[in-house]
Amino acid sequence: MSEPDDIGLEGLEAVLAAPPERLLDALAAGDEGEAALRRQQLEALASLALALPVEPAPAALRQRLLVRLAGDETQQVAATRPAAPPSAQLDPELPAGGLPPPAPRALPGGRPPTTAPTPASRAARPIPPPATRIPPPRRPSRAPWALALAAGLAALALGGAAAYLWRELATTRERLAESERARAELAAEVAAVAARAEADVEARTELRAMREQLTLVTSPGTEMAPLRPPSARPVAPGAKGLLWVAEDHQHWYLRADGLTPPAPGRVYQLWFLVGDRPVSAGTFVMEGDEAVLASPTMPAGTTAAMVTMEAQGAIGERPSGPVVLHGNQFVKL
Amino acid sequence: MRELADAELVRRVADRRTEALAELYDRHAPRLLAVARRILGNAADAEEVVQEALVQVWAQAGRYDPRRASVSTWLVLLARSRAIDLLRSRRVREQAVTVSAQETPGAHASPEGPRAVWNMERQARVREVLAELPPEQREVLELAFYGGLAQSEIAERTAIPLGTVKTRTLLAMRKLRAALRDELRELL
Repeated sequence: MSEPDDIGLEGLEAVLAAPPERLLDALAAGDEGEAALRRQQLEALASLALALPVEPAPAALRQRLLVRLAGDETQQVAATRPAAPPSAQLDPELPAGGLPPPAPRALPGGRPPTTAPTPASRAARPIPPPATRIPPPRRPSRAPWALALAAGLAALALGGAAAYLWRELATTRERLAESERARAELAAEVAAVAARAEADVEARTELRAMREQLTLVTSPGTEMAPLRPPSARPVAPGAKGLLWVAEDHQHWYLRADGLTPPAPGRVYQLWFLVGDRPVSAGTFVMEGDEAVLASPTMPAGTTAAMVTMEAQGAIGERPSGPVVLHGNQFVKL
Repeated sequence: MRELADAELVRRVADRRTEALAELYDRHAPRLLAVARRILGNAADAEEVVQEALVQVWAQAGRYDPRRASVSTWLVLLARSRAIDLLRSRRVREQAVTVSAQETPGAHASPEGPRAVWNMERQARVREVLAELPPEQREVLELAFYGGLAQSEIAERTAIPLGTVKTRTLLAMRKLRAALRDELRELL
């Protein structure tokens, strides 16, 4: 019978033997449990590289890399955009070494050009810097000041909208990164329990529950709500939580970190808010400085969640203790 | 400017942001060059391999899944894989595999800040663990990782039974994982 390590060794060898183009496929092979165990082994094995003295990274290599990427991008842009009209092509009079700085087309001293003028020279226009796509020639504007004003107003509006969208994007990305880290932690824990499951009935039960939770947090349609301490007089300022809710809005899984054990005689309690009405989702215990709670039922119309600290044995219909964590922003991942 | 996590940089690479790839180069190229040079034995080949590896990152960044491997591990595996391909194509396996790694600490080229401190601590732990491994266990690990040899090929090369190769590999891996438990937890 294969031991978990043997299985892991086969998976590890498959990744190490994969050709470079197929490495990502090899890393993605197998179910979540196998992949999590294999990941531990790969991370440890890749650490061998840390024993090597680092090599200086040449600036020339960096530059060659970026130039190559720019060349690839230019080819992709050229392949997807329509060809510019002949008048927008680079002027053959320009020196082979590159484009001069932007300047009017008139030659120094007012001398006429020595070669036949190209269509682009009919109207004076600035010569763009290298690597910039030359726009087609525009007709002379009858009211340049009006166009400049309109362009300025549009730029102002777009700038404001872009700044807002950028902030929203940054916030969403931070939440996504936080969720991904928590998912990875859970996957690693699944792998660790799987290694003991063969001879441990309790571990098998725990493994089953953890796999269900892992399925929930990795399923499409799952929503995630970050829980944070209240800004005013937080009970646990370093605490944070993630509440995952399945697409059916019934199965959910809470993971809270940074919660210190409650004072003697007190417990943490999770509440779902349906409008203004709180519905208890149960109390939970700490495992180290983490807490996990899960259930297959959630009240319909839940719009927010919060964790409070309550007196043990005196759990009522409404929270009476301080709010430790709360959140109402459900994001579909 | 806030220091971005490697996974965030890869996401930006997938968005075709060359400055993100440049940042990955700055952070990881010294280590990747070290791996490639360890396998190939010369700097020029190592640079070629690292360039190709990062071009592949540019092409595949959208497919990278942080749940499967950390960015640093993905890059190290990629550089290793390309170096081994180049090694095989040049049929100099015997010469490259017997080059032993210098254990003297090299200049640390990672960016400053908490990341650099964490890398240095992890580096020290790995060297400590490897130094404590029995030579036969370290040998099978290095033949697999730097030599690109399968377990069966290691058995053939070293003239020891395949089962013994597997046992030594497993023992070495367990020690490495146990000693790096805290660092792995940070990565995972």
